[in-house]
Amino acid sequence: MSSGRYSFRPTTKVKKTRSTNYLGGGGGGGGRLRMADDREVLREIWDSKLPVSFALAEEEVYTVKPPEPYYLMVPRLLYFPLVTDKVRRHFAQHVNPEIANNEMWLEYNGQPIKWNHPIGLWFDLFSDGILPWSISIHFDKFPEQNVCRCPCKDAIRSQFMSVLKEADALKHKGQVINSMQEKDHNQLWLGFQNDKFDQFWGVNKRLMESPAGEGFRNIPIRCYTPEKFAMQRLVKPVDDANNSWTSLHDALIEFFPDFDASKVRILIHGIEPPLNSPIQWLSEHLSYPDNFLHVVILPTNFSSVPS
Amino acid sequence: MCSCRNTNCQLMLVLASTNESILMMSFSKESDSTVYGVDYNGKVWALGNSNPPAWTRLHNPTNVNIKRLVSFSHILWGIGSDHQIYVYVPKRDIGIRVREEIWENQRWNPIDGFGKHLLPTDRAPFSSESGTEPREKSDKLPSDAWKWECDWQIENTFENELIAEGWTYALDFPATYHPEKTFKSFVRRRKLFRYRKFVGTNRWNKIESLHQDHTQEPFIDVAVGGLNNLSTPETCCLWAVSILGEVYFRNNTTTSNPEGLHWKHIPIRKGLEACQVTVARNGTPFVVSWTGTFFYRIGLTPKNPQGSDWLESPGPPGGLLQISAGTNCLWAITRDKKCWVLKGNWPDIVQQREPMFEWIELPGQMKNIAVGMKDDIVLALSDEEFSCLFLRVGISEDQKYGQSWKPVLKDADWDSLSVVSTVSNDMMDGKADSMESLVSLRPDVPPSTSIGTNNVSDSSNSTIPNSFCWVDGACASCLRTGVETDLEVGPWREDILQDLQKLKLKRTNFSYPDALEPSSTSWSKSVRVKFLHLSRNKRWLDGHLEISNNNHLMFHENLEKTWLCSVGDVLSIFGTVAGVNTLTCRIRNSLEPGVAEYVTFKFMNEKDTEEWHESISELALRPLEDFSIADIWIVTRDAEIHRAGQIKILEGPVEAEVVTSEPNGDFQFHYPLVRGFMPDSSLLLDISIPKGAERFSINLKGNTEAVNAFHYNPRFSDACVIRNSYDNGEWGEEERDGVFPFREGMSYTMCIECTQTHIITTITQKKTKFIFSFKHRVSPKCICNLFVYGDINVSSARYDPKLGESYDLEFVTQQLPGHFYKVEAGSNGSAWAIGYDLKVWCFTGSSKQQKVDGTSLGVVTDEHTYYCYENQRWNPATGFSGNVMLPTDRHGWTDESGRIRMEKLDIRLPSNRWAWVADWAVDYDTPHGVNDDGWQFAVDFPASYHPNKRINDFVRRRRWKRVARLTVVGPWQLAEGMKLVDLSIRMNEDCEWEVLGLQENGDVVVRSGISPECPIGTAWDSLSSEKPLISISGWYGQRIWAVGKDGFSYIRYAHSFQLLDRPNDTPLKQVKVGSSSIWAIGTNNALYRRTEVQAIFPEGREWIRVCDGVLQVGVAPDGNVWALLKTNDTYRCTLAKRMGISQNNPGGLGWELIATGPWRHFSVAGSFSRNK
Repeated sequence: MSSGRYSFRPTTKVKKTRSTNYLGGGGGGGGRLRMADDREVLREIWDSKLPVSFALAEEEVYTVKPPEPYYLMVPRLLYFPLVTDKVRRHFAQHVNPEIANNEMWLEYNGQPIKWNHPIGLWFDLFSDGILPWSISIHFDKFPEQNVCRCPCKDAIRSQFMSVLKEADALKHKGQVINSMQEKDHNQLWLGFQNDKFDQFWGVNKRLMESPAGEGFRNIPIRCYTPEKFAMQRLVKPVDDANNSWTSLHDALIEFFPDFDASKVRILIHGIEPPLNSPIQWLSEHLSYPDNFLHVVILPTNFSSVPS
Repeated sequence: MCSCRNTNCQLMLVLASTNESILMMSFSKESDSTVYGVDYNGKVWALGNSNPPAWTRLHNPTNVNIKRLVSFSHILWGIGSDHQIYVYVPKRDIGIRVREEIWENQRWNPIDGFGKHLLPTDRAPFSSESGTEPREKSDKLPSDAWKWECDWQIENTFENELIAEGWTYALDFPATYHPEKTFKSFVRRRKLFRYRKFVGTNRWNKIESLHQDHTQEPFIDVAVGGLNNLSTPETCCLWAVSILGEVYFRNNTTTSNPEGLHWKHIPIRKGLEACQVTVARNGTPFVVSWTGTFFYRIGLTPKNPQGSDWLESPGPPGGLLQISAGTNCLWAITRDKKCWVLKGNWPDIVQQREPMFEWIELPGQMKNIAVGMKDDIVLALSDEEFSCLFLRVGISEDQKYGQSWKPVLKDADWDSLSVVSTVSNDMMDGKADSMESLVSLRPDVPPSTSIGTNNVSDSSNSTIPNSFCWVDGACASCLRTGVETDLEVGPWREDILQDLQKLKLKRTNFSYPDALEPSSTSWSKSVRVKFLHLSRNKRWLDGHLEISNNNHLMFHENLEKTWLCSVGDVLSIFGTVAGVNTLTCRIRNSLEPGVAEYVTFKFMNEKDTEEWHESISELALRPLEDFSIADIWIVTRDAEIHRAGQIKILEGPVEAEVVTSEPNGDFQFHYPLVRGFMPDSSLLLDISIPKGAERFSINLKGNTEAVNAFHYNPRFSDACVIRNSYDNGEWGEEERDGVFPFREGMSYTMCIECTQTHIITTITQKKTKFIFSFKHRVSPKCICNLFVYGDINVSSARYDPKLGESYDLEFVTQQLPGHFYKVEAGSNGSAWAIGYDLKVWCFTGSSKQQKVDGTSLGVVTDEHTYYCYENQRWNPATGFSGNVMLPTDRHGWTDESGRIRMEKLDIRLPSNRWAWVADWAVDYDTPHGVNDDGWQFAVDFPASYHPNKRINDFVRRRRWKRVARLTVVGPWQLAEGMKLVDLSIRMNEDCEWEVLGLQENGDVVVRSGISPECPIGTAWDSLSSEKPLISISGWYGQRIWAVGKDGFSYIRYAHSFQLLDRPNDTPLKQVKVGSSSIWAIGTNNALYRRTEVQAIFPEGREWIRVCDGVLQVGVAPDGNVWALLKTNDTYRCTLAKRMGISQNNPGGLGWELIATGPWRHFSVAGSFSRNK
């Protein structure tokens, strides 16, 4: 009956909006659609923040007295340019006025931070886990080679939306994102940018829907290692061979055929999810707002995390 | 199927599923459908709905061997090895129970008074009600499968009056009867009734043979279908073919009379002999003759299910061998083993004047074919030596005949097939995936194999009998659906959550400021709506609705007309009260505490509606701990179910409507002070004075322009600040002393504070402060707006209200998904609800949480029947016609009243959660009866209608009906196999919880096996009751009370209901038992209380009237009496609590009004209060 499946798709799509919007918000336990419904987990991830201590790079201090470090709780899911306005204002008065209007850039441990990756991802990947995370602020010598510039917030928006679209292309052949109106896109972005969980998830939940028992077409997943930055593979949520849900472990084997769980640490949002967790569920709940599951893989010896 | 099969009975097939409504349940994993199969030894097996499905042999104490089997609505009919027809009724919770009624008629004669000696023209001594049908007062039962439950009883109530001996008197038959005997009473009659029970369950009961000698004319084929009417009991159309080629119809076969009454010979055209019969879903039989033609019955009506005439059709070329009918499709096999399908829908073709049957040939050599009742499943057997079972794939709404044959099981040595299936609407809507989960079973293939997926699972521990020949079932998706294989949450979820929480702990050491400050100006949501505030303006306004991020709902029309309310003040949200795509909110009233206001939003589309419904509900959700009285259940007139309670809300209500003054030139700034400006409130304004400023003013105004509590008016020309107030249409005395603080072009901070006695303004510029104080002239209570006019720029305003000391108890409701007519709760936290289709649902959500969690959700369905009336007037030219009417007449299509024009097409479904079950059909169950075509006649509109045309009847009408089904996901579980009109939850004498229910016919049932682990219980048992009841109620330590259809109250002693009295003036309609009191409602909507009810004298003394205007009463566990009171508004009623109930005043003193709303039914029996 597989032939029937595609011909019915438009009908199915109409039903989606129907069954998700029943009252009470609860979950789709009995529905014919699955979706991200574990609010507790979603909320926990949304509220996850990092204490960051920003300090002006020593060589750029222009004033007699070096400025105090600037401390902030930074949402893990956001991008740096969305949260560093105040930081910039704080330090701009302490640098050479000639460069004070330059674009600010961040550096940790000698490595410039790419703003176009979520803050939490960068932290998991490159920090050694010490809190607060000490970041140096630079106004001079923008590392054009490594970091692309962020001229305005619209640049972040278009970066964010393009990743989101790619994710939906993998999940639903882009049908869901394309069926949305401009105001929905707007709501996604404003909700994300302004830290408004309900506003964001009001729309995002539609991106997280899939037919019950099937899951997404493909899981938007990227793996990061400190050496080889980002990798992407096609990962199916269901293993057709034995008709079971793909686990995180299975997914990682797609990336690293000789994957050995004892030699590495797997980090998403700063935690190590059990390797038997279904990738579908992880994708629904542990994806970043850009709808990608960003998985950080660190060699075990790298993991001297002080408690 | 040919007759050779009868002699060489190598195989049998059957399959049964149930009617459509049951299959819907199957979707909720509670399948009530069963597949039956016959093995080589003639034993019948049932594939139950256990998980995994397992075969069990049908209990067969009489050792009847079955060759062929058909089923309908849980009942099986089969042809036994003696070629007779048997019926098998599986034992279910509630058996078949039939009430027999006869009328005893007597005539008075001067010698010995009333006696049995009637005149020759009179009716029989015992007759039917009309007297036309003589009956016997006998002990004879229809068959030995029945048993009398009791002896004949006298009906001792007449028109809600109690009468001795039950006699009613009249001058003559047929006439009007009176309970009193008078001098002209010459005849009398009374009603006797008796119940009989079907006891032949779980065994094969032989249906009488055609002749004394059953070998004379054995049967060779049998088929059954149902009339597509939703009546109870359902009519089963049982057709059979005998060896002589004759066709028989079993009369009066219904689900409550599975044996039928007698065989009716339906002669076919002379010279033809029938060989096979199939019955379509709607009961139409198709009979194949030996000559290769087929014929079918026309003129089927609910009153005449066997139809009126045969119509014959030649069938496809080659001569028919076999035919199989679905709802719309007709599949056939010809003698040359070709497979054919009828082009078009047969019901449409049959209706044409000259039906043209056009057949399409399909590839493949087949010897047997079977189609499911809903056309969706077609199976065929190939005609090769080792025949293979084929499934037709690709059947869809567009491609009714499918695309190709797909082999499903090879080497199936079968020679006949039949598929009976009904499929839920969802499948028809395109859930093609679930069609893969058909079940096909035979000994060598385990039961869970699905046709279509072709992967044979390897479970070897199946419990299939080895001797199984084969069975094939297409029981829709009930046994395997995709939902069940959906991802389940495992222990990893807990690990992840714990890790996340640990991570959170780590960062609690850092108290850095947040990088993102909640920005106060950004809205969260905005949508275009129409807005109606019933008590303030009577018309719809156009504008935008917004939820701001400090949780205020705001409606504005281009920011001009504003209405504002805190989401926390939304007490209830109703879906469709005011129509499709609307939300109606019950909100706290800012002016008059305790009386809720209603505002309605009309959205542009369904999506917005649902989205906003969800958002507002979520924001307005209150934790259960906050409730001082919780767990009141209430159902609205639109069948929404709400869980409600009373809650103490500390903050004053925030609702303001602000009409900004006409935009004259100097208007600058408006700020609604939504929480008032009570003492200790303050306002901080950042202002700047432009160059060349002359004057500006800052005003604290009330809700209207008429009150200005504080007018602050600096005048630069006079260099003074004028302070004043405006009330009752005039300005007060000006205060203009003090230093002038302002200079052009400067910025200031202005602070306005309200103290108990004064309004104090402080102007700050750098370190200089200028203070004015203004004694209250108008109470600060009325302040709710800040207006700024003139030459000033306000760059920001901060408002810090002091919250009023308001501790009103507010009635708050929270909607749960579901569609119900009635709800009853129990003090064990359970709740049961009855839908409009009378199905019974048990609440599976948490009793501790107001929010519904995902685990308890299931599919909830309900049905709604839409009616419209076709009206016609008789005229001499064309007879009855809907087109030629008098000018004063109603339209040809109207609602019941005739005032509202309503065509069939005008009736639309309220939302996309609804779907039509079937097309429009004439309703034969219209009150007052109908004729064979569904018409009711009357002298004129509007009048009393009767089923048969009389000489002076000039108008007629008939009712059309169409059933719509709602499907939602909600925390409810169906208690299967039962339809109830009333229920009550109580703890019985053994301290077990039970649910008392009343069936439509007034019988009492009890749900037992209820435990905390299994709130839905395990089984229904019937509780004998001789009188049909309409209301029932029980409470621990109290007797069960009931109200009969006759309006009398009944109390249950030992094993029977004992008749009690009723109020003098009126019959009762509802009774409610509380822990210490018994209450009842009369049909006149008066509330009655039972006096002197004591443990030793539980039936009390009498009903005394307490008050009028009560629609429904309920008793809370704390003994409080609640009720729904009538209001002037027919749509709304008021929930109220009886106050002042005491020893001296057991009836209470008055009502405390709690909440007015569109309530229909409530239950407080599960409510509890919380002392904080």
